[in-house]
Formats: sequence, structure tokens, C-alpha cells
Amino acid sequence: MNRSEILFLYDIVDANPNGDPLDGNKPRLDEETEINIVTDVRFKRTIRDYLHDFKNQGIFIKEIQDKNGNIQDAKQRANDYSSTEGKYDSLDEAKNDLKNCILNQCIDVRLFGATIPIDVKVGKTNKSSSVTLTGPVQFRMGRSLNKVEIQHIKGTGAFASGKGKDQKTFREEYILPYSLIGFYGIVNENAAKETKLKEEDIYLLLDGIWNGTKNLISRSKFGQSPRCLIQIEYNENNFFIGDLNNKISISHDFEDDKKLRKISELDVDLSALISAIEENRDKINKINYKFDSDIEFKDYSMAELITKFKDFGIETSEINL
Amino acid sequence: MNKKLLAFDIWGDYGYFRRGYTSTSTITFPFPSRTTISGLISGILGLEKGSYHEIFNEDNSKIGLRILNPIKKININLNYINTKGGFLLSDINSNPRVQVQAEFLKDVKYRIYVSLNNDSLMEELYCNLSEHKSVFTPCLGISECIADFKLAYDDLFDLNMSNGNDVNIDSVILKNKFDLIIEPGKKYGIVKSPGFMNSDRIVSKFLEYYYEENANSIKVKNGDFYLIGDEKIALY
Repeated sequence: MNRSEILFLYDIVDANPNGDPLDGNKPRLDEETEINIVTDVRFKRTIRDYLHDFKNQGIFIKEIQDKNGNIQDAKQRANDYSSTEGKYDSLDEAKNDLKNCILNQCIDVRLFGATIPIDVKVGKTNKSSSVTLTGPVQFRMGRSLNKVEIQHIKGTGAFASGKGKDQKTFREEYILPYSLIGFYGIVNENAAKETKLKEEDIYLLLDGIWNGTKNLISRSKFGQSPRCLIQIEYNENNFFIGDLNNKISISHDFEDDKKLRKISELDVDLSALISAIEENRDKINKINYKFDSDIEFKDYSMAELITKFKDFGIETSEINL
Repeated sequence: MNKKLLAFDIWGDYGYFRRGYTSTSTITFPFPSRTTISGLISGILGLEKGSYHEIFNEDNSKIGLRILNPIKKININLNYINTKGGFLLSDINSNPRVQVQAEFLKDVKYRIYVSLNNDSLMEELYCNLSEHKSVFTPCLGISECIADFKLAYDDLFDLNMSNGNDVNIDSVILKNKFDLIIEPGKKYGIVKSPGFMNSDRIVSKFLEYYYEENANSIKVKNGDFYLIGDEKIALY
């Protein structure tokens, strides 16, 4: 496996990409710069849910009311596989056994790591401990490329707030008219050994990023569209370009970012990223990409961009999602 | 064989150096503690957890830190799931979720100075930094605060101590080693954070610092400092 870096752009229209639970579920905002923030855990949740619901992958950190969830199976299975029928002679043996079973069952632990609390019988006593696994795949907090403004929307509900009332309740929510959000992540080949990450897991991760974002059809997330996914794969161990999300920007004809309402009104400027790619072309093994047909880059059409990468002597391939 | 010194810059969108023992919400140190810096450097070198305390103990290493971007904070509130009872909501009897206010640092940038007695590690660190390689993903406190770095000078320097009166020190300084000269227009802070830990990751010594929040130098009456490029820095 090679080190790779991921840059993903998606946008959202008239919805809330990630609410702040301590601030009336308003979209998260950096008050100083008026940039919209989406936490990495929200993004990982999107990927986890997609892989679980659409790809039948075992997910360790789940929020589904399910008595026969995978972790139960994993524990059960751990006991099935263990030669001692779930009874261990030492805590270390139990830890290793459960760790391996969970890694074999759960793609999210292989990707993102986890801290797993363990409760087992060692000899005749119950012992508890935990296993900590650092995830090979890490994402930065997502940041919008445009300044945003929060809109406050009020409406009437369909129900009264209690019995014997003749008035319907009011509801209120906060939305963003438009936010183009960038996520930057790294796949670390050294940490991957620890969690037994497989090559096909990385394909599933990209699938979850793209299609998970698209398929997240809930009231507050409807209107999310994946726009651009670039995975830069390196051929030299431990090398990475770094800071990809700050190597792109947007340009448009409005005097203010907050007037933006759709993807066609802006161009994504990749020039700093292209320079970094050119500078490090010898260390790049391959660029995998997927573009939405509506995104427009500054100075290049999509075909020209791919040609440019090829001219650098870098193999490119469109991700088949 | 002279001891060597190198410097590198490290930056990121966010940083989160959690203070222990806070009663309510989690708050962050303004800059990484010496133990955090040890872990960060070990991650770049690829040393396993718990294997590096010896390399970074008081006799074998010197570390320094300069604040390059003014200290700015932002609250990013997090929704935690209580997983003590299990990972499924159906297994969790009371309050499955808890909202935590977390204070993050924003647009962070520091310069870190390192001198290790182990020459081969110094050489390896220098090579990794100059070739922009890191064995494990570098981060500022927690994994989602992915960091980027760059060697500050193209050389390894010899470690030479100087001494002077009324000097402007560019780095953070230890409170017990220097007398401050307070100057107008500067914003000073004091912070105490873990300095050294033993092989069980238990803190054996804390360090207390003076720092300037807006990335200005600090004037001191007298003290020992080191020169690197045109910077005067304190090491600890």
C-alpha cells in the first residue's frame, strides 16, 4: 500500500451540512472569517452509514437500535473462533483475539481506528481493559471555500405541543443558502499495517465519500452534491505534499461570496495544487479522480487538467464509482 | 562531536492540546507541551508509542518552541456518544449522547527547535523534514488536526549557548529561568504543562512558561539562550 492524500469537495444548497448541538443546531461557523465548518466525525458518519446500509460492511461504531448488531456478532464470533470458548488465560490473549476479530469484521475500525472497551473472563474473574487503534485514514475538519451566511427559517408544525390545545406549534431551523466544503485527508501506509487495512477498503472509502455524500437523503442534508474527488498516490514511502485543502480557492463575479447560490456561479482555482503536483511529480505514482460534470475549474477544462497531469508523466485514472 | 540543533515550522487549520483536570468544558493549551512535541517528532520518525521517553528525557534532549501565528481560539462543540456500556444505542441506558464544548486553536503555526544527543536520530529527523516525509501522520494534538511542516533552515546548527543582558528572546521561556521585563503593547501569558514522562506515560515533571500571545519576542533581564539563524531562543 502507498501513502495517499485525498481532497474532496462537495456543496450543499439550502440545507445544514453539520449542526452545532450547543448552538440551536445552527450550521457551524467560524465567526471571525464567516467560514462554515463541518467536523471530521460528521464526515466519517456519512461514510460509515453508507458502507453499512448500501455495501453490507460491518461497522463497529453504529447508532442503530439493533439488538443483533455487528459488534455482538463480532464478540460472539470471537468466542466461536477462540479455542477457549470465550474464556481466556490472560488479558493479553483476550485483547489480541478480540482486536483481530473486530478488525476482520469492521471496515470502519480498519479505516479510522477506535478505542475499544473490553470486558472478558480471564480464568474465573471478569477483567476489563481497552484496545486503542490509530486509524490510518484521518481527515481534517472540513471548511467551506466561500464565506457563508446563516438563514433562519420559521414555519408552522402540523401538531399541537400537547393535549387540549387548538394551536399548532411553531418550528424553526437554520440553513445555509450555499456552502462549498473541502475535506482533506491522508491514508497512512504505516498505520495501515496495524489495522490490517486492505487495498479494497480504500476503494470502499472513496465510494463512501462520493456516494455516501450523494445518498444522504435526510431533511437537513438533502441537496448535498459531491463535486470533485482527487486522490494522489505516492510512490515514495512516508512522503506527502500536505495541506491540500489550502492549495485551492474559488473565484466568481460577485463582490461577496455570500451571494453565491450554485456551483455554476464559481470557478475552482487549482493552480497552487497543480504547482505542488508538478514540483513533486517524481514522487507521485498515480492520481485517481472523479469530477462532477457541473464543476468548473479556473483556466482548465476537465480534459485539459487530466492532460496536464499526463504531461507531468503521472498516470491518471477516473475512479469508477 | 558537537551537539546539533535544527528547527522546523509546523502549522495547520486547527490545533487541540487538551488540558487535563478541567471541571467543565475542555480547554486547550496555547501551544503544545514538551511531551506533545516529543510525540510529534517521534511520529515523524516513526518511533512506536511508549518507546521514546528515554530519547526525550532531560539529559538526552533539548526542545524549544516559538509561536509564529497569534494565538486564536474557536469553540467547536462536539456531540459525544457514551460508549461505556456498549456501542449500540440500545445498550446504553441513560443519556446516550453528551454535548461537549471543545476549545480549539485556529490557524496555528509554531517553530520547533530540537537537539537530540542521539546523532543518528538527528540525522534521520533532518532527512525526513527536508524530504517532507513523516512515518505517521503528523497532527496538532488530535488526529483531525492534521499538520504540515517544513524545515526552517537548510542546515543543522551546532548547539552554542550564549548569555546576555536585556535580550529579546523569540521563543517561549521557562518561568523559573528568566526575569521578565514587561513591555507595553505586549500580551503575556503563563502556562504550566507536562514536561517529561516515564515509560508508563506518567508525567514526572511539569514545566511552567511565559509566552507572548501575538507572536512577539519577550524581553528578559538576563539569561542563557541559543542562536539559530538570527533568532535568539531558549531551550528546555
